[in-house]
Amino acid sequence: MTALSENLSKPVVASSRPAASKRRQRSWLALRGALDRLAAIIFMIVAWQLAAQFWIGEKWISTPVKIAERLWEMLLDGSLQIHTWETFKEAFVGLLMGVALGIVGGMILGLSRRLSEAIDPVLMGIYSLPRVSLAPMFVIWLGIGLLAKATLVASMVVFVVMLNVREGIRSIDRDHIDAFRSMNASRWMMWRHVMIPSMIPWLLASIRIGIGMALVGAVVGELIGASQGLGWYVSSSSSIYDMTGAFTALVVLMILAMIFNFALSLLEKRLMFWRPSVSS
Amino acid sequence: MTVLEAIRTPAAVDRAGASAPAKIEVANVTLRYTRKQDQSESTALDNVSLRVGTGEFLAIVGPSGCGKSTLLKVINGLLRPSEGSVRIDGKPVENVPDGVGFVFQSDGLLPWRTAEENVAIGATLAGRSATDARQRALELLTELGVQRAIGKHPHELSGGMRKRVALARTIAYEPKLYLLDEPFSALDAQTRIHVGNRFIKTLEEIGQTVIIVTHDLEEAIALADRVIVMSAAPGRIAAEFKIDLPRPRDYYQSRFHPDFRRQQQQLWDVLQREMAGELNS
Ligand SMILES: Nc1ncnc2c1ncn2[C@@H]1O[C@H](COP(=O)(O)OP(=O)(O)O)[C@@H](O)[C@H]1O
Ligand SMILES: [Mg+2]
Repeated sequence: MTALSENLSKPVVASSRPAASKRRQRSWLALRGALDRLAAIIFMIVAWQLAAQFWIGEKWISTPVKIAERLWEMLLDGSLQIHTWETFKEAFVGLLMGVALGIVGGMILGLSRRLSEAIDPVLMGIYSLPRVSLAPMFVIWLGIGLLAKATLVASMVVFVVMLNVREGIRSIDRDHIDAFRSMNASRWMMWRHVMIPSMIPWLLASIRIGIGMALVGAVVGELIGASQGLGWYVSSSSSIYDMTGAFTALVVLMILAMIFNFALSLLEKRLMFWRPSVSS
Repeated sequence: MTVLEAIRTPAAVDRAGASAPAKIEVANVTLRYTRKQDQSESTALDNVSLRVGTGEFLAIVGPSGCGKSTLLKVINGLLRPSEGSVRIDGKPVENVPDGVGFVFQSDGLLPWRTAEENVAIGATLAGRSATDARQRALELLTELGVQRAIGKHPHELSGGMRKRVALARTIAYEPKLYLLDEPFSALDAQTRIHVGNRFIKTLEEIGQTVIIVTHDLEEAIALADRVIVMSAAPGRIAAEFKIDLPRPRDYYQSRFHPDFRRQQQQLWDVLQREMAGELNS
């Protein structure tokens, strides 16, 4: 793997510009991008603070300073960790369940056109259904524990993954399959070298969408029935007009989403090294 | 060229052409594609018959869409003919037979594997162990003058390098029959000469039966022992022509041989007669 990542960092196209200066320019661009992002965040925080103090009012949208104080308090009394861990577990376990089921389902649908065409209308129907509306039923069936929320999350994630994996299988380059067939490659060789690698970009794209859905699913599940978790914290804070509490939980949720996405980016870098367009 | 000599066969000694024992017999093959949406059929090959001798170097020329790739896939057993049959070494082709190497029009290299990994796959499928296959891949890439491709992924390689890696993968599979589908059509003129020369030298060295598909008449004459011309869709064999140029050939130099123009002229006459006949019928 190290050899591969070294290759990636080399310039792909030779040009008259010396490599060293090109590299310097690229790291300057990366630095500038990071500074831009930092500036955008600071701008939003300052704007929020000013809007809360001089315009909308603190009791409606709290303030960044109060949220920071609350975060600190919650960190010290341990409640931050408890709620975050709960929501993380629900989203993560649900995401894993949904992705696993989605891969299996997508492969079956991708390989059997007939089955796929038969159940396509039903599939699209369920897919378009707002699955958060199933949340109360999951609570009734599975209780208010981890399983109910994870299942809700999985029910949201599974379809995106399934449809993507199906599309991934269908769009495999015919020539790759023929090249392997012409050399009498075994089914196993074909899966290992052609099918699975061709599917991975589609799978990763669906996981990226799935992350957002997973957090929505976990939070909605907690709104319906829970005794802890960030979603529960939002609803219980709101019910006593504690806007600082509600916004604090939302900020933590946002950070959680960023961490999920960051982890996925690392995975993408590892798995998609061969893609010329992967550089960002 | 020690690496290639290892897989050299007696056939290389005598390129007897069509008079040698038949390597391939295509008999009255018709192939119809069925469109998935409305089950409508279109004929890609129409009653094609063809005999290729062991060790022969055959070129198939024809306009794009006339069924050249389809014919190669039928010979390789990747497509089943609607009518007619194909035999390789006298045995009917049912599934994909062993010992047939196919170099695809798009090089067909896996973008997620390095050049040597791609080549090693061919060697693995020829029955070599993993370490052996890798060793073989490195040898072949060196042999074909693409050492620079080692450790790189296909997107980092030029078109000419990719073609040579694709040929190396096919050679690594050690086929007794090479099917090359327009291997040079995507290359610019200069690269084409360079890569074309590598291909012809290597294939002459190996000495196995070769079918090369091209839409370039001069290229066909320069490379082959025999040229078969296909008519526009639905594909039929319009003309056949034996080429008497000495071997070893050179991809470009062969065109300056005194006999080249004469052969080209004769082939052109045959073609014109065919086309005239086609227009009248
Ligand atoms: N998989 C396919 N399904 C339907 N029609 C096809 C398919 N592949 C090729 N054809 C059609 O068959 C004809 C011959 O194609 P092909 O063998 O690729 O021609 P060539 O290689 O000579 O350019 C073309 O008209 C093409 O559109
Ligand atoms: Mg073709």
